[in-house]
Amino acid sequence: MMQRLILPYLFLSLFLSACEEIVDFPDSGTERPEIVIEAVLTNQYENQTVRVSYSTAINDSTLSVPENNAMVRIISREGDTFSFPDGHEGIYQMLFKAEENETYRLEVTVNGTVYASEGRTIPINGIDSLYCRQMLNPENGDSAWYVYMDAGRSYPMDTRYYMLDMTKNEELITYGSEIWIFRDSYTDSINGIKLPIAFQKGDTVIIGLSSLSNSMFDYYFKLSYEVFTINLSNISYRCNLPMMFDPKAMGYFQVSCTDRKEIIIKQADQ
Amino acid sequence: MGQEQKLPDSISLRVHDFTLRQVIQELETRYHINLYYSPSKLPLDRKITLVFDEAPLTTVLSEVCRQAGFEYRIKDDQVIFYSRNGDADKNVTTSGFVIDSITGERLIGAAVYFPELSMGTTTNEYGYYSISIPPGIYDINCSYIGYSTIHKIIVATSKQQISFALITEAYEIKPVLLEGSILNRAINLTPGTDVLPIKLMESYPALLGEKDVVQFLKMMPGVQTTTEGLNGLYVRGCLPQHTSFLIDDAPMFNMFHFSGWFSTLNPDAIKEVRLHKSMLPAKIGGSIASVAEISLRDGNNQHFNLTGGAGTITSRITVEGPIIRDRSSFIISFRRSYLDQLIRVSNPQKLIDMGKIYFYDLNAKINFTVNARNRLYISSYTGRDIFDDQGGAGWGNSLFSGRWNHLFSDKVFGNLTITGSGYDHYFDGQGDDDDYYKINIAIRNYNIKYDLTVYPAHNRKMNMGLNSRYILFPPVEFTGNSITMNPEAADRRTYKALLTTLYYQGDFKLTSDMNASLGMRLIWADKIYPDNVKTRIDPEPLISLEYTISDELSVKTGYSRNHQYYHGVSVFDLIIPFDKYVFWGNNLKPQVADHIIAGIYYSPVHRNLEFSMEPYFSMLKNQDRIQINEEIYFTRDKNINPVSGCLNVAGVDFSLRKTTGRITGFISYTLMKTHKKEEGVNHNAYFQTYYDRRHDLVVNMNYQLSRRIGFSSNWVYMSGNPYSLPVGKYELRGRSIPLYNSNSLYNRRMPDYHRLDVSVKIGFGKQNPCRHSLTLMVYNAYARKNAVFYHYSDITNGNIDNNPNNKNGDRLFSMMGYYFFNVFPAFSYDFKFGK
Repeated sequence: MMQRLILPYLFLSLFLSACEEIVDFPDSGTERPEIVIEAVLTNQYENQTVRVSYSTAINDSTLSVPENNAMVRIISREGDTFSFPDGHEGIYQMLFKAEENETYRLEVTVNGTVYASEGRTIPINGIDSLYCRQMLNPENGDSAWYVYMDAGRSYPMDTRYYMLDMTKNEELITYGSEIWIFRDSYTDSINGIKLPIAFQKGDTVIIGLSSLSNSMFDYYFKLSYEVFTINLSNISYRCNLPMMFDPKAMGYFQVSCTDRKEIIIKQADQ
Repeated sequence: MGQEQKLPDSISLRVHDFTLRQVIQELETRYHINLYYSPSKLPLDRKITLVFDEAPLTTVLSEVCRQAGFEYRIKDDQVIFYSRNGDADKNVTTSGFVIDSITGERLIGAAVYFPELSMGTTTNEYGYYSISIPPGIYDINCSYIGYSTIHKIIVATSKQQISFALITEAYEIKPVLLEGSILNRAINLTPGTDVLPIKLMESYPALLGEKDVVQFLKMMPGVQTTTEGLNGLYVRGCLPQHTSFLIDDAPMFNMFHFSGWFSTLNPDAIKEVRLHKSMLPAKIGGSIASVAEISLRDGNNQHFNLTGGAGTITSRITVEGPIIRDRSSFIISFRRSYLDQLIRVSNPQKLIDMGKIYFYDLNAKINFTVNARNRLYISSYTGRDIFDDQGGAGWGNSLFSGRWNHLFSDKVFGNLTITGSGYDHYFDGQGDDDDYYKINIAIRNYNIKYDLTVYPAHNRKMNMGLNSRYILFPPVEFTGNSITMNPEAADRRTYKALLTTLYYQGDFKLTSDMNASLGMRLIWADKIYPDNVKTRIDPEPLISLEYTISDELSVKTGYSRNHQYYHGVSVFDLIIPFDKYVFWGNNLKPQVADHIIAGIYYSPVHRNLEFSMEPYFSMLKNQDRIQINEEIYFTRDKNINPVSGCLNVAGVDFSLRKTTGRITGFISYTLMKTHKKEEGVNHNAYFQTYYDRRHDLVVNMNYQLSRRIGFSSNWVYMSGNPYSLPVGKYELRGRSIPLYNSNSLYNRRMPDYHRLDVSVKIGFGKQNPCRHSLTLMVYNAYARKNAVFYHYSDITNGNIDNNPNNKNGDRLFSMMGYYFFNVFPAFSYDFKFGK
């Protein structure tokens, strides 16, 4: 009887509460498109990628407009210059390996304007080992596999800020809103870290551990704050992400030392 | 005294060697003359002989007075006999206490007023008043919000104690009387002070049917909130960290349960709420904007009572009674929310997993009258919120307050206050044993104060004292193994500060129509640890002037300066309070505010209205914003690099209150502009703050249909919150990021907020000992969708989509509006056993 009385009231209350709906954007005027540069440079011999695009109006159905006529190059501290080939869909790629503890300058020339930013490949000790354990998945109560990572470090290393990337069965998981960054300023190791994704037997997992500069860590923190939190446009202090290019352009230039390891989930306590 | 009757023009009286007592009896019984006298002041046994036939009454009275050696005066068809003793040129002191006639509780802020002298005063926090008046015979009125006014005639020839026991019909639903507020407004010298009509709180249509002091506070002029469901009050354009709550003089750091929907105090335990906006009395400090002084009830020292109620999500109970009748009493109040229990009972299939989500609070207070000059009060409180469902948060306050009143003389009232209060909150992410972290933040505050109020003959009142406040911010405690938290990095030091304040405030009568109040606080601010911070000495002047144009109309103006020695850091604005405070230090200066207020107060008594208008302007300096980053809880204070800023607030509050009759209510309107400037933000130009509600209007109306049935309604209107509308978007890591115009911060407003709440209250039970009532209400009756906030996001097929790998539809950059309540019915059942 009591349940009969309470349930309708509760459901009525809850259903009538906490709703969301799409709101039409008010007219915000016409703004000149801003240049956006996304660049990641690592010490792995692999395709280094720079993406150049333009911002679009808020009501525009396209997310961004690619810039295919940019001139992209990397210049080392000694003045060695490495030019990227022409881009496609705004993406410029070049097989290249950055040296450890080296400072690189990225220059992107668009319509005669050179947008530049610098970064250093901060050395990293890398991943010592990956292993997995079978545990209860708290989300659905089923059994799932979790990957753990040991990444010991020794002083004096000046790596303070890290980023993790994860590929599961050749699909990059840590993309879009998934930004895994952490700080390791004072400890000797980051052993026994459980990665927050559940796996099934047979999954192939590649973990990448990258060093970050302080400014890149700050950038990603603000980006994740922008993306993850319920960003109260009327309450949280809203402004653009930090500008890392001169002259000012949106985007970032991440220079990292990266270590990657692969694990295949096949048995307990590997 | 006889019953009131018109005096005869002439009388016949033949008595020989009658005592004065017998003569008085003759006058009362034979001619029904209303005689007023003090037996102790008259020679009642003195022999008198009178021979009068149809002589004028005044002739007879003159002869009586001549033979007995005193005087008489006729006033309002009453004959007053009074002694000639006393110095006619010297003021005499009238003092005493004002109490509730049923509970014996002393009433705060009750007005004691002499209409003929246009003089008055109010009782202090302990129900005591003292006033010096010229010798004579006067009407004296004593009134208080919700109580019937008492009229007396006094003969002031020497100092005397006159106490008042005010009468209220404690339970029957009836139009709320607000007469007291008229006098309070006229007498109180400090502009910006508002006494909440607590009695109205019993009938207003409260959210979820839960009457609550903070929700009611939000309806007062000048008090705003950013939006529903958020912690904090924005009083006269200042931030929540600029408002302090004092519970029986002990500070409470977080006044909110359930993410801001409720206050931490059981409404049945509250005696009075006094909100000081902008200008703070000298004896109160520590905040730069406002202080809400909340006094808890002392408990009934005459009878045992059991009071309580059940609302939509909470139940509450209060027990009170005498320990020693007339001398000592206690009160204990407990409240707990039970949404979690309801769901547990009604939802065995775990359809809705609410985990352990509840709050509770417990108040206890005792008082003891040692003798006529000494009284002790001890209050304590503990309360907690738990949001714990495999990781969550919790926060809670505890406080203690001990006070000792001592009456040195009828002109000197002393009070020693010792308080301690603590606040803790934690935040954890608890998945399983291998992935766990917990952050715990604490604040401690200890206070000792001696306060003296002196009522000298010519000055109306002087208040002075010494206050020492010891504040501790212990280090953030961290446990766990999360990759994003690092316990070794945390600052392990406890930050301590000692704030010692010497204060004085004097109220002076400059002319018959003009009063002034001058005050000064001198603060020694000493940051004890870590060192290397020089001790500061800061003066805080206070001045206010009042000009009485008539008994019904007065104008006031004032200026004050306030300091606040800590800055608040707030990370999560929504749902969970998660705040940290940082003392002034190397990179942070104390916050400073200068307030200028003016006001017009019009109270036409016979029309039962009270109108006030208070324009104000505040300049807040050192409004440094501590930037949020992932290390904020572990960073040493000296490493914090704030963004310096300042804030200007200009506004005007209007208040109109209908005080008696079948229809009662109030209209509160605030017109306000808040502009902030921060270094390097918005091209160093002023921008409106996110909480700038330009117009804020509350219309409350209560209609009493019968003794048992009453209707109540609120209509609330606020300008929409400013927000920053992006001018474009760009793509990063495969998702859309809003692009803002860097020199156009908060450039748009959300749609205006408005809603209508209605309620009906039905009373049952005729008389003691058991009475009860049922309140039915509807919140947001016309189902207005008031957006609480906007969120920019990519959506696919109408759903938020942060996965750039998703190819199942067109991704669109969109603005999502969120709102909490559409239409919400609720109920509340209240009961009371006892008187």
